[in-house]
Amino acid sequence: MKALLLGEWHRLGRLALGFALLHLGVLAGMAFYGDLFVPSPTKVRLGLAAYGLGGLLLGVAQFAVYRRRNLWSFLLHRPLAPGKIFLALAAAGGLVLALVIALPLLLVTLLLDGFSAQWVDGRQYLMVPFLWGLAMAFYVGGCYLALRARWSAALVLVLLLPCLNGAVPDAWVFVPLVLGLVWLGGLALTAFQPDLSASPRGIRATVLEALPTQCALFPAVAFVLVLVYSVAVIHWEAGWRGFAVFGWNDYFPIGSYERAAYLDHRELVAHALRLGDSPRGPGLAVVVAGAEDGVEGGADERVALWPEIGAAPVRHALLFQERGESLLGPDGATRWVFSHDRMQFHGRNTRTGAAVGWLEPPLAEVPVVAADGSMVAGGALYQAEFGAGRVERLWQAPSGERLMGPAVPFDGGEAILSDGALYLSDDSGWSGSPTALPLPGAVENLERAVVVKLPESRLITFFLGQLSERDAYPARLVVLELAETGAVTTITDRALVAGAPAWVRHRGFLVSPLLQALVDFVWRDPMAPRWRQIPNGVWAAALGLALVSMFLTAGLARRRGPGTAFWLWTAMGFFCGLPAFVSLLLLRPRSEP
Amino acid sequence: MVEVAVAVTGLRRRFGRKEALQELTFEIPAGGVHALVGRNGAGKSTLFRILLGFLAPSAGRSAVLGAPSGALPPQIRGRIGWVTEEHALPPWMAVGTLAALQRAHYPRWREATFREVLAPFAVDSRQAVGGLSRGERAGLSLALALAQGPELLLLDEPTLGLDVVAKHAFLDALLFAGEHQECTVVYASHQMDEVERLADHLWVLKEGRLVSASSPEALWERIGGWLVELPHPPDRARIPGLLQARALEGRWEVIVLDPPEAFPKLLDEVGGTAVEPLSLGFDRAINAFLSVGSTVGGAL
Amino acid sequence: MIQIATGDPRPIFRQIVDGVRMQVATGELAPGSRLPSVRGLAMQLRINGNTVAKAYNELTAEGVIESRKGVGVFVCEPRQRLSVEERERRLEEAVQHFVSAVVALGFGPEAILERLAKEMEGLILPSAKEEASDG
Repeated sequence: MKALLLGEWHRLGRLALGFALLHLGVLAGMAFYGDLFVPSPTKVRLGLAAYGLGGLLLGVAQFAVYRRRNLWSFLLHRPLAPGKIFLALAAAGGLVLALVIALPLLLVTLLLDGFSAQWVDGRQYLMVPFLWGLAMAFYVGGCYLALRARWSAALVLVLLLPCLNGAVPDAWVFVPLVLGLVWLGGLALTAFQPDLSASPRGIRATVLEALPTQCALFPAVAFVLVLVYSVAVIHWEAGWRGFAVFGWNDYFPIGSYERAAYLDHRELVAHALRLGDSPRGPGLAVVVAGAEDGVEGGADERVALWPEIGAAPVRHALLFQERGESLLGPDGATRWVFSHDRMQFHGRNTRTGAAVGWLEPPLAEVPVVAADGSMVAGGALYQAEFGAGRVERLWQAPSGERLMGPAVPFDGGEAILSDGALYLSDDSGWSGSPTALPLPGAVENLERAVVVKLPESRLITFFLGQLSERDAYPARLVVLELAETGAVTTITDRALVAGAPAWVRHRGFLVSPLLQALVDFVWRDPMAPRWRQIPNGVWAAALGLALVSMFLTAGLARRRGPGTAFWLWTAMGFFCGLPAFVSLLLLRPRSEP
Repeated sequence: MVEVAVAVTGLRRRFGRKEALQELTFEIPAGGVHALVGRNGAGKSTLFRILLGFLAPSAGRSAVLGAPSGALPPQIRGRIGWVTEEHALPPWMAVGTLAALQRAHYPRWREATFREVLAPFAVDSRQAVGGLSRGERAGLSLALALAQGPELLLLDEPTLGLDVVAKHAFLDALLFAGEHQECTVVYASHQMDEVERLADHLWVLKEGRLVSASSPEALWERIGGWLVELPHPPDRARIPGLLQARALEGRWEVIVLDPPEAFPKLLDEVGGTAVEPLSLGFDRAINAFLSVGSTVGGAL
Repeated sequence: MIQIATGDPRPIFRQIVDGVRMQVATGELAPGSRLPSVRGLAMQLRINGNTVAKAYNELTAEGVIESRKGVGVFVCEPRQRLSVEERERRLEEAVQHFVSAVVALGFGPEAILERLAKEMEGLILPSAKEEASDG
């Protein structure tokens, strides 16, 4: 085994060295010209894609050569089990990736930590094995691709999607990575047999291959259902409208969720006002709808807030957050980056790179920053005072509440959203007591809150329904009028019905309840409804569809002869629905044995 | 030491519509040189790949050295040498590295045999395999296989495309490498001159079927040739066992399988005359046997 | 030098047998001279050793050569092994074969006999007088 490994290493070694130097050069350039550890979300995605693609290409190239040049017989006809042969080759690939990816990263991180003023968190070091592991996982996927030699094999790479989730602290990020790597490794091992044209045999091998393929096909099949609805139903009834699905809100009746969902802020408020019972509603609606910014009597200030769920930073998370964590000091002279280890901002001179110091005191949570130095962490609102080297706390939300986004300027003061209420401060700032408007529903269900300034009052519109598509939460429109005295009147409080039919909204469940549950579990989707909330009609349709796909799959599997595989596929056809049928179409061997 | 080197039962293999192997059943006993003879496309390569587990049969089973082909344990693989037609070896490796790789894997490696077999091909150990000529690669491939000390050696048209010098070197190595090893050789070829030199036993494959299994002389003796005069072109109805007919200046050279003693009399009855018997060399006789149904210069 | 040719109408072992017999008859291989070993001749001719073994076995059975263990293979003293009847039968068979081959060629009997005599001239024939004890 060692001889094989060394042979492969010699084969790949020179090329590996070249790429390692190239990588080192790129990293050095990035470190020199920008902040290596605070890249923009685009750079993060590009970087992940590059490492993943690099690993994938290495796997494909290394093994495709053995397939193509008829070297397969040479490779496998030896007194060594195929599994060990594969491990030897993959170990060589792993070493190459360590040289090309891990070593330059480690080197640059060490140099920056030791020889520059930049502060390096522990989690930056954790990036080294993570990126190497990610490339390795894609590499093993590439091996599998090369061995199976068909495009549909690439679908199993869906196993690696959970790795790219940013909001995971510390070493937990390795859990989906290791699981994905092990699964793909198992797949590659089952494919690494003398007879390459045979499909994997046995229950374990079939399931290993079929399940990820079906999970990858699942959203495609569900999408087809939506397309059917959009093209067939909407266009049939209302004329041709192109291929967008839920965007054509004027097809849906007034009072439905979809009708309101795609309006811009001003139209939404007007729509909400018209829906209400109060007689003042329509009048206000005219004012709001017709007004342009700055015109007397019109709405001259309007602002929208939405809870930034999922974009909240996680302490010690490896992959960088949507918002980035850096502030620019006055005149752009200093740049302040937040350290998760010390929970403080560390500043460096943008021209010379020299360290400037830390902002005191440390924060309890990782903040969400806004460009002007205001930030939100946990339940408190802060303002960075660069001159004093401090972070001042401006305001603390009532007990237990978390702030869901940065403060937004409005009408001389600011508006901010917490998970319990919307707060408005006046021009004296947050030191006085701001007005609190409690949220009429769960904050995760809040699509947006719109605050509009009218000449004599303010209108606050709450639009709930973010998680209403699959009946997990109800949709609702609430409009409150806040008088200058502080009195609150409800103009509108209207529950919204679902406009699209249940079978479209529960399309994932329709295609396969099992796969939908799996996807909901893996992504921890808050939109997942309880199963008893799903209408009986949908259950019946799902059962019908399951039976249809079971018969289709059984019919196709029968052609290969009865046996374990046949019953397994029939079962998968029932429980995994049409994706199972499509996966069987894609995965069965080309030439019959 | 097993008694049966290769055992095949009811083996079939279909590629789309084409039946590459049809109901093959035979056993190759251990020891000796067995020639597997057949035209291109007769199924020889397919058979080898199935025997070594690189292809699954459509039906039937096969076993080599007592182990089933679909699940050959690594130790058994270590006792089988395989030389393919293309002599596929990693082109990026140096000859020396390749030899070291193989040496590390095979416990019964004999370095002396490797050098002895490779010597006539004048290959430098620092050369990359990709830079070798076809003949040199063939020699290297055979040297690697023989140095393993195999119990069973499968060779699939190994001298195809080799020049005369390389061919001679190859055959020398095959026949006389090292000390006498207890080795069963299965040599697939359609080069009859090599088969005539090498074979102890002859296995004939035709369109995926085994049509003869005997010593080479036994089959050869069954085939007779005659120069005849016939009023009509020869066909199998009039001349039973007709293998091949060739027109020659108004007469016909016919080659017949199992001709009766009184062949001239038989010809008389169909209106023909036997002019004289042909003496058939081994290659002509066996090729005629392989090509039943073909004729040059006339209809059959 | 014993030579063989593939493509010859005779099997290789028969070519060896005939070749050795001819060399013994012409005196190229004198009695008592040593023949190549089975392996040696096989290497020289590039053929399977079993073929040479088969040829040597037949030659030994005919008494043309003998194998001395540990020493080698040697040419025997010319000695007749076949019985009178067998020799007569073989001669008859060979004559018939020869006659049918040349009858249509148009040579006269004298020319044919002359040629035969010329061929037989140089050959050393085993003595007809000594007979094998068991025929």
